[in-house]
Amino acid sequence: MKQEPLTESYFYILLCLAHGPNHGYGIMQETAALSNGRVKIGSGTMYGATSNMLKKKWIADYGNEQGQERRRLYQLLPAGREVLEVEIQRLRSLVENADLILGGRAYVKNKDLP
Amino acid sequence: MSRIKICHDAYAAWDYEKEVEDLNKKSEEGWQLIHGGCFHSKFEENPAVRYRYQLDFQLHVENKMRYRELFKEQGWEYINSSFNGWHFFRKPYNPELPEEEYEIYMDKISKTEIAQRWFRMYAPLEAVLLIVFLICTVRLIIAPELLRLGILIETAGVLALGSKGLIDSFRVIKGGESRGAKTNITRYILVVLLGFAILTAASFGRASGIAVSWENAAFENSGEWFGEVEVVIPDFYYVDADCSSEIPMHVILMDEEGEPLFEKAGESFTIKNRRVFLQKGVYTLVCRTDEENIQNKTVNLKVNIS
Repeated sequence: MKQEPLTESYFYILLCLAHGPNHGYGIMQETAALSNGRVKIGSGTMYGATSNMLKKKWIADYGNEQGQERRRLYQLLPAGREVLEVEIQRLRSLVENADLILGGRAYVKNKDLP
Repeated sequence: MSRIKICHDAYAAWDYEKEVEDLNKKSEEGWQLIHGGCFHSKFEENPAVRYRYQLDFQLHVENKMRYRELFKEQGWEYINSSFNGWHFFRKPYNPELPEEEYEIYMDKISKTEIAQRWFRMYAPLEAVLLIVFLICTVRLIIAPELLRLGILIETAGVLALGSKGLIDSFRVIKGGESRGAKTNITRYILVVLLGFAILTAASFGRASGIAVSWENAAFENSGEWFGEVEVVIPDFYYVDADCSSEIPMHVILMDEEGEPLFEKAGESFTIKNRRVFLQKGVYTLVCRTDEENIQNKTVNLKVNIS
């Protein structure tokens, strides 16, 4: 089945878990830093997205972190990694296509196409 | 002790952004929400602080702990939840921070999620209501009756409010920001109450059903009986009668001027659900016979007006 494009929030949540478990606040901060403040994940969005991903088994609860705050951690599951990789592939092909047209490379138009 | 104020402002589900604006405005004026709900919100006077509020709609929160944690992590203080799935949060306001700090749904897609959730929940209910409304209309046309009119008005009120909600939330889902004026819930509630008042009046007016019954009654000197009927609520009423007599009987319902509204004659007859429109007033139910030889004749007669 063809995978639906991810929203930016979904994409960044999966991405921020790709290098190890993280908590909601960490994901929010890392997303803001990575995107230079362009993408911010609010609490409402975060709850909706993580609930959905937990249900789909893309991510899982990873217990509480050590320390004072004892924040709840999430970890990426293989299914989630797969979704992320498929999405990255899709985004890459979009950019490659754009480069093909706009990047000044040779491009032969298929004459059979209307 | 700080002063407490109770507000009974009602906001429609799809007007939650307006509710947030109003809560923020109240906070600026020194009134801080301490308990949110529909029709009943509690505010505490405290001009020293300023909060920004947010509302979230989640009919069923699977993991309440996890839900509140995610808000707490970003500085949101949980206030309370209303019975119908709204959750109230607040965050101390710092004018130096960007506005984004005070939002819980940042991207357009999840901003419309609340409207979508509400739409999905309410649309099937509205469909059922529409069917009920159509049935009520048909029933009212076939047999006009105050009770049915009351039910129809009530259904219409709820249906209209629901349609306004579906249209408004659909607009939010499609267009994002564009939204109309705040829905005046009170107006719709008044319509529903009007329907309810008619319905109650009609059913209470009918509660005093008039019944006349003679069983195995023997005629003595008089061949006539009278019964008085008082109608409080003008409406359509139903006459049921059952007669089996040894001599022909007349059953007549007369108004105050003595005009017959309904008449039936015969030795034995049955009337079922004969509709008559009765104004407010006193009516006379007459049962009599024209026979002269009435001694020792018996009659079984039941008349019921409801």
